[in-house]
Parts: sequence; C-alpha cells; structure tokens
Amino acid sequence: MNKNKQNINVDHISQLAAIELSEEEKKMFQSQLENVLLYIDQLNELDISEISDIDEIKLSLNDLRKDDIKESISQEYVKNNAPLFNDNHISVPKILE
Amino acid sequence: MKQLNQCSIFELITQLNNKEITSLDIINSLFSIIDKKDDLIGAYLTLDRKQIEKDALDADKKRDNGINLPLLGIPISIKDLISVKDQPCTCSSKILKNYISPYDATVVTKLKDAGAIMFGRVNMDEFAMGSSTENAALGSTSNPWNLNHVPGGSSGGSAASVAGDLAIASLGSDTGGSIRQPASFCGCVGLKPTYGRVSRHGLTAFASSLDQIGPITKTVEDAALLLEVISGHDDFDSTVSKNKVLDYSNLINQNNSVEGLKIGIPKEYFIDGMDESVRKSILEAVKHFENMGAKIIDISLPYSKYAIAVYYILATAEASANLARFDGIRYGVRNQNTDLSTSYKKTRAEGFGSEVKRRIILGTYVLSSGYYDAYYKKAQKVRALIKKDFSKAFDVCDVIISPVSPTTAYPKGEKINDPLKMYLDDILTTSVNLAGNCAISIPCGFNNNLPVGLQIIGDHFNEELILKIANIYEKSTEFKDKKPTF
Repeated sequence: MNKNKQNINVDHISQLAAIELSEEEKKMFQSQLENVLLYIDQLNELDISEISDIDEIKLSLNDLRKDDIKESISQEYVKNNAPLFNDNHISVPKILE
Repeated sequence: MKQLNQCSIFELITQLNNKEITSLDIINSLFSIIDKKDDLIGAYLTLDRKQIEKDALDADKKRDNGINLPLLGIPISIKDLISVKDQPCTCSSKILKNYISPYDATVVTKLKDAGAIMFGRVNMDEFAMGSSTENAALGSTSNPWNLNHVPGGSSGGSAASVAGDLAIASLGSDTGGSIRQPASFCGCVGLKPTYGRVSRHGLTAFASSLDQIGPITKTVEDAALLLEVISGHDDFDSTVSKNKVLDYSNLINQNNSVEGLKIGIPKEYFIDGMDESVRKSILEAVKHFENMGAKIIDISLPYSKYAIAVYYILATAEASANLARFDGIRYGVRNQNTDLSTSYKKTRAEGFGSEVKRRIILGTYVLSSGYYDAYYKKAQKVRALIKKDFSKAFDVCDVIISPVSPTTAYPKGEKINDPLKMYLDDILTTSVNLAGNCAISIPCGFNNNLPVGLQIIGDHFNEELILKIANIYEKSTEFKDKKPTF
C-alpha cells in the first residue's frame, strides 16, 4: 500500500473547478485533502484486475419517452430568478472583446 | 391527551375522519409550538404561514364536500433541496438564498395529489454535504434530545422537526446515510428507498447514482404510507423503476410474525471504536427478534471496509459535475465582474461554503486527467464488489440488521474541523447507497438520553419486508413513546 504523501495541486484543481480559493483555504484544503487521499489509498490493497467493465454497476438501458411538447416554466420565473435581466434577456459578463 | 402536533399521520387521519378536528387545527397546533420552541431547535428555514393556512382551509373544505384522499390535510415539512413551486429552495447555501422554485418536484406533486400540505422548508447541510447539519449556511439546528448536540445530517432539519414535534412528518434525501443517520440521532423513523423507487425530479442533485428521497416520520406506518404516495414511475426521471408500487401501509400489518425470518448480522458492522451502548442496544434488538422466532445468521460483507473510500470518490466526482450548474448566470447570487471567468470563480467562492468547495475540489481531482483510472475507475470496480457482497448475503438471509451509526449524537463542533473524521461517520450507511438497496432506521434504545438507531437493510425493492419487520419491532417495544423534553 502506498503510504506516500499524496500530491494534490489544489491551486490547479481550483482553476479547473472554477472556484477562487483564498491562501488560507488553499493551505487548509491541501492538508485535509491529503489526509482524505491517504485514507482512500487503501483501495490499492485490492486486486481488481479480474473485474471487467461489465461487472461495474450496470446501468439500465436508456428509457426513452416520446418527445411531446408540454408546457414549460414561464418567463416570469426565469426573469425573477436571474441575477441580471434586461430587455427580455439575461445579462451576462462580456465573453468577446 | 396528545396535542395535535405530537400525533402521527395515522392518528390525525382518524381524528379528521371522525370530524373531531380540522386540518386548520393541526397547522395551528404546529404554528404554536414552532413559535414557542423553534428558536431552540432551528429546524425551519422558511414557513409560509399564509399559504399553509390557505391549503389547510382548502383541505377542510374538500373533506366537508366528501372528498377523501390518503393524506388530505396532513402537513409535511420538506428538506430545503426539494422544489415546491413558488417556495424558496436554498439547499442551505448562500448561492441560492434568493432562488424561488418554478415547479414542483415529482414527489411534491404526488404529495399534493394525495391531499398533503407542504409545511415549511427545513434545514440541512449545504447541498446535503455533511453528517451533522453544521455545514449549513443559512441556519443552525439542534438535537431536541440535547440542544448542545448535533441532530445528524444532512437531513437534520427534517429529523429535528419530527422528533421535536414541530412537524408531523418530513421528506429528506439520502446519498450516503442522510435520512437514516439523522433519524437515528433524533430517535425517529427514517427510510431510504431502493435506488429507482422514488423520482428525483425536482431534487437538487448531489450524487445522481446514489441520491434517493425518503420519509422521516414518527412511526413505521407513517413511513409506509408516505412511501406508497411518493413512489413510482416518472417521465422526468428515467432511473425510476416501473416495478409496481405496493400498498405498503396495509401490507405491513398483515401476517405479523417474524417466525422463521432469517436475519443476517454482518460482523464487519460491529466495528472497533463503536460505542458500547450502541452495540448493546443493537444486540438486544437482535435477541428480541430471536425470542420472537427469527433465525439469526452470521454473515460477512467483506468489502464494506472500502465503502467510505469508494463513496468519497464517486459522490464527490458526481457532485463536482452536478454543482457546475451553480455559476450565477441564470439564477442564484452572482458576483458581477467584467470578465466571465472571474465572475464564475468569485461567484462560486462567495456562494459555496467550505465543505462544498472541499468536495468539489476532491471530485474534480479524482476525475482529472491522469487520476481518473487510479481513483474513479477503480472506485466503480470496488463498488461492483460491494454490490456483490449484498447480493450474496441476500442468498442466505432475508434482511440484514446493524447499527445506523457507531455512536449516538455527538456534541456540536466535535468533528467540524476534521473532514475525514466526519466522513467516517457514514461507515455503516454508505454501502447501502453504493449497492442501491433499501434500509430503514428505527429507534432501539437510549444512552445518556440520546437515541440509538437500528438499521434494517433489505434487498432491492423489498421495502415491504423491512417496513413489516420495523413495524413489528416498533409495536413490540416502547422506544417510540419516549419523547424529548426541551
């Protein structure tokens, strides 16, 4: 079993997850997640080479229904829940210069 | 005589049918105790009294007009991550503090069709991530049995509202034990249905391969009744089984015997470090079943020791994807910034609490390039082994009995700074989610005036059997009659 300290680059992962972390959070998560990963490493004791992908959790086949047109939520709800709403559209920060 | 807020659903239905009380009486009784006591418990996040009163009057009118429905005029509190149209659905998160649901969850539609009243939104760990309801950004909830102790989580508000008689019954959700563990800590009945029994449409997704909605109630009969109302096929959730929904609340009272029933006791579930009081209460319950004619069989679930590791890989991986939708664009609180990417990052930094961030980071890591095979893929394989453990066990026994949690409710603050310690709390409940089975928690003892919960695990879609056995246990013991004083 690998008892080595786990290297998780919290800074890089937080970029992927689109969450800005404070320096304090980075430090705290670093040590907490290293502990969690060390615990998770006990899975390495197991020999799983014999388990085929088919043995993995079997998902039921797609259960399709007819694509009937039904009433959807009203624009009023969309408008009221949107952080910024102008002229019948949701305003978002600029994505193109 | 019992106050109305202390009654079970079945007790209230009898009185309503006999015209001794009205639905308005019930909700007024609840309002009055909430006014007096919810400052101490902190179960409710919001309570729309005007709407509830209107719904109660409507229900009373229907009853006067001869209409009868299984839950007509019965109020149910709802965990604040299940959508009720025109009500908040904050998930106890700052990011959703202004959000108003545009539609009803399928379980809510089913409850309303059965005549129930949606009674208030109850507290929880943020996005259902936690085991103590301490990770809640918008409220703080105490255990009615000891106000300095946690109510359990993540459905802590549901369990505390029912245990404290601030609600008649509640709906919660269970991803790794979030119905059973708070029910155990607060001394109520909590049922996690089989994966695919109940629709999750309108439930804020945490880990979609594990989440199930289920009832938290005062009696097993009430749980059976709520289950039969909320179960069944749904066009909006393709994971829901087309298996027939049974008449659970009637079935559990037929053939009231455990004679010849084979109860499996998994040795791995009586772990080192477990409270002696918990072990003793569970073994006494097992003895009780044996005295009534059940056959006790020692079984082994060898892969259970890996359940927490597997769970915290799969649940966080799924959560990292599910929670990507909270970006402050179409709804929720936004940190408006000139740059889109900065807007996302700051919105999520300010909107999510620590535990949610921690789990998103862990989930993103186990799915990231170079780590996917080592973590996610491996965890899926071990999950298959855990599932096989259960199917083998059910070849030799009818149900499995274990504790719900290795301890009773602990003091607030004890584990909040040590995430791994908090995660290990779920050691006896997560396997059931990973295997997709059903399980129920019922009170089976007390230690220092804190309840101990008995877990009865059933095979897939065998809710009828675990409810029946739980009902027999409840009716042949006196644990449900003990009430907290606060």
